[in-house]
Amino acid sequence: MPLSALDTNGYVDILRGGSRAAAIHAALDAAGTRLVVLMPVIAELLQGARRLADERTVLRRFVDPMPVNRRIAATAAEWTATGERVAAMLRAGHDPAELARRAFWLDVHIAQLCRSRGITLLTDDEDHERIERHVRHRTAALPSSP
Amino acid sequence: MAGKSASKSTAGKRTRSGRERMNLLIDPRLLRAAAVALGTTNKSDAVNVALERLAEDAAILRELGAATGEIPDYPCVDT
Repeated sequence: MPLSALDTNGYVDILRGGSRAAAIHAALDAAGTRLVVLMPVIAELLQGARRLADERTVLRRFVDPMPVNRRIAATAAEWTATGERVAAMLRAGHDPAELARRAFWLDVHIAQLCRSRGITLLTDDEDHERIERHVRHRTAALPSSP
Repeated sequence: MAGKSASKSTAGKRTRSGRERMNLLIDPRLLRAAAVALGTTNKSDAVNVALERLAEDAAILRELGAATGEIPDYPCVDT
């Protein structure tokens, strides 16, 4: 069964609620894929939590229900591959200022992690369109509001 | 006492691994398809892995549903 993971913006939409959140939930329920959680995405989400209670919500809702083998964090080899990928992107002429952005760099890491584990990333983050040319990871669009 | 006896299996015999031999009616086509899809080596594993994943997936989706709108003022983060 194919593996899928939500990108940070998908989780943010769920937390904020509304029709987009409902559409994402419905799509995941119907997708027939096995959802995993990317721990770098959780790190990003925690960074946005303004209150301690929000941090607890993120962990309770998105990490705790995931069995340990579905919580995806990079191995030593995958961290190495991320560094090599960033270096290759710089050599290929990718904008160094963009690669210096923490969020973009982390997106390269997320992309590398998805590629090495065969995970489809559900995202509408435009950074991944540019990263995909270099990393060749699989992405799918988050469902839009009905 | 009634509740205690009701929770006991009348057909089961527990193995050392904690599994229980039970008389269940299962569609053999579904069982074969599950074993192939899950890549399990035997049919008992197919049943157990399928049930495990079903329970995991249900819990994950339940919590995603419960998180909906839980932090309506979640800020814009640079992602």
